[in-house]
Amino acid sequence: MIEVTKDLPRSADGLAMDWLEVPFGPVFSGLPGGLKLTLTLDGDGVTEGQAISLVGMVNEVEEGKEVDAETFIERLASAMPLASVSYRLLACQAIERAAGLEEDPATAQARAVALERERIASHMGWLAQLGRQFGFAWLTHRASTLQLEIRCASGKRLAELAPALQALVTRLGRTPLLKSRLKGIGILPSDATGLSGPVARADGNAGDAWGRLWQRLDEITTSLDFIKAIGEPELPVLRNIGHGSGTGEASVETPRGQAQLSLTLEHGQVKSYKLDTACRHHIGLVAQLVEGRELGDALVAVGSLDLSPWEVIS
Amino acid sequence: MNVVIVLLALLGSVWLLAVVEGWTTTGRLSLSAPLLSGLAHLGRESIVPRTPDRLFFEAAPILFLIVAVLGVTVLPLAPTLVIADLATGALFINAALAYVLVALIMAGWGPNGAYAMIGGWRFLGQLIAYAMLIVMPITAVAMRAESLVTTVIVASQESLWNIVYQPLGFVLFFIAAMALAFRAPFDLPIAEGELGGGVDAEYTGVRRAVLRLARLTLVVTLAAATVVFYLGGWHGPLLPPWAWSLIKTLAVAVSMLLVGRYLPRIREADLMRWCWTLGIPLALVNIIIVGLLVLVVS
Amino acid sequence: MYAQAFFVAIFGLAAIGFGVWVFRTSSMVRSALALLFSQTAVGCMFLAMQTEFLGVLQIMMMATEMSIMAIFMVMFMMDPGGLGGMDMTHQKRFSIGAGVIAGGVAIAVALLADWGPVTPQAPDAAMQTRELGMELLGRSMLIFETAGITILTAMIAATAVAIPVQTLANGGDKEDSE
Repeated sequence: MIEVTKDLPRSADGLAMDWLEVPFGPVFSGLPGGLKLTLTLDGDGVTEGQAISLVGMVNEVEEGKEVDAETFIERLASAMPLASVSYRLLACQAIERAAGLEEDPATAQARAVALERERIASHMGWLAQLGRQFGFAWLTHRASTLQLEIRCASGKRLAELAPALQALVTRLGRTPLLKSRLKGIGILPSDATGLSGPVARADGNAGDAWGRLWQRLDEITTSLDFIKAIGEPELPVLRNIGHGSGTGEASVETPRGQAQLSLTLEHGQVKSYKLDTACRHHIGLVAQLVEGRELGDALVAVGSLDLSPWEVIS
Repeated sequence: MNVVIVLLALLGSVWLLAVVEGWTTTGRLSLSAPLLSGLAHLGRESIVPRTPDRLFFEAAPILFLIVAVLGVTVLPLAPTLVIADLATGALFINAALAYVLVALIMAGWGPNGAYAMIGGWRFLGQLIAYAMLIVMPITAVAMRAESLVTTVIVASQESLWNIVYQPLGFVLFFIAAMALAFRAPFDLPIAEGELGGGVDAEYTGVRRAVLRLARLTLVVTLAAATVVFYLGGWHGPLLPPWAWSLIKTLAVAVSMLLVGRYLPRIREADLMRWCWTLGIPLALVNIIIVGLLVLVVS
Repeated sequence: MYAQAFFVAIFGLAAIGFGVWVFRTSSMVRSALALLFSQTAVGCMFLAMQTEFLGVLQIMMMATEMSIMAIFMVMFMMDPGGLGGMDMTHQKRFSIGAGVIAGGVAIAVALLADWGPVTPQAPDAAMQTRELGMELLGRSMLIFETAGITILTAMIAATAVAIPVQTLANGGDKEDSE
């Protein structure tokens, strides 16, 4: 027996076992659709793992093909179904700057409200996903119902929904087992770079999955206050840019973190662009977060990053 | 005759429970839904995975169903309405339900799939956590009744139900029973969000129908056991004894279903730690308290 | 009486059959579960012989014990699924000899020992349970407690010996870091 097992890799508990390479996703109820997580399992423990996106954009830079500005905006928005408003805004801003338009404060405010509304909806979607991962049926049902309501809600409707959102936050704070499930799980490595969004902001306190949950819940409250103070949301629509030319750069704080876009405009056509997203950096954290963890904890850690596979550029 | 009545009552309870389960998950109250989904399962292709351990794969659902039904045989609906009034009834139900573990290990190993296998072995770990919390509260129940006979245990609660006499034991037993039935939040072996269905993952068609039937039967069995051990069995005013047994059993079973909706799944390590560092000492305290009470009262 | 003898024989044969299967399969898990069902059959023999408590206890204990053994077999053996067609037997000549001798001795004892007069009526199951309890917590207590502690020590020691010494640099236990 010793001859057979002596060359097998040893796991943390010292047992020599067959390691299984198990795929989780791209369609797996505990993870965002489109994300493929491959874990090498040693019993119930994860020895190593990596995540790739099967639906992400392939090119960060596209040159040579000219695209109409309106078409470009639509394409970018529909390529990011989990945060289409943010990317629509990002594209509008970049193109308008390239065309040399001045910022219009009223439009900018209405757009910012739409962005904050999407942030709340996106965090609700993440909560529903968390509920699915935990078999927490009530949370999934409640959060996904709210998400659908909020996605297209007016400022007035959002104000009406505010107590329901607040109740959800309070309820989560009181849910037993939730803290023990998240606390101390998925602590970010200290040398992690390129973090942004809730993942980065939660890094200050503990930087674990529990911290990220509360960071997102806090952001929901902040966004609600912002919307209440400013007014009605308005979907970003490209202003008249004429046949402007130039280069423009914009960055938007999407629900998942900073997204940056720089593009070249020629006679109202987008000639080339360069896109950088938060998820693209966050997906690199997966390998370190899952290593040496139990399977359940590893999946919680990956889930807490709120990766959108569409926003991963490979 | 008793056999027929008890089995019909079991079947009826399972059906009602399935109706409630459908109601909570889909939001529609439909009395025919369980029958229709059962028929749908029969009509679906029953896929056999590649290179399975065929014997285990086929035997597991059947073994699971048999042991869940066997557990009911010692539980009385009314003073004389019990299939087998064994002298070791309270022990027998443990013996029968221990084979749930065997069935799940077989179901996990049989299909030759990683999700299922991890699910099956996870349940073994879960058993190590909950097993003592099933047996030790029952010990305290048997101490009060001075018997392992289930009908005597119910009779001993005529003046005061065990839920009042030993509330600590009830809480521990209820939690452990949910862990035994792997209901959420203890659904580690079939965790949808972690193992994609785990032990259930590779079963389809008629085999899956048997598995689901067995799982609901297990919930009813454990609810009936909770009623017999803690909720005074058939005792109750006005209604006939069997009706009380059924009502209480269904109430406990439904509460087992509902609790899980409002809780996230527990971590394996936490389950193990809390059961051993908190649960077992509490179960021992329960035994001591009941022992003192029994000595003082008698 | 005949029905009883019949069932004892049936379960006895089942126990032997499952026992044989333990060595006839190449899958570790099948082997462990065959042993489990062999022991369950022994428990059923107890039941057929009207020793209800012992029978039920045997049936209950073996389910968990043999399952735990199964996981140890899966953990420590290189081919738990038996896909390589592993042979469960070794030292064949010695074990055949030992088996034949032990079987002969058992049969000889069964045939030759003076079993005393046949008990006309066994006490009923409730009485047996009571007497067993009195026995276990009476004069036999020391024996059982000693045996229990010994088995527990042996289990812990066996596990400790089986796990190689590990370097603490390799992460250690994550419970400690909390």
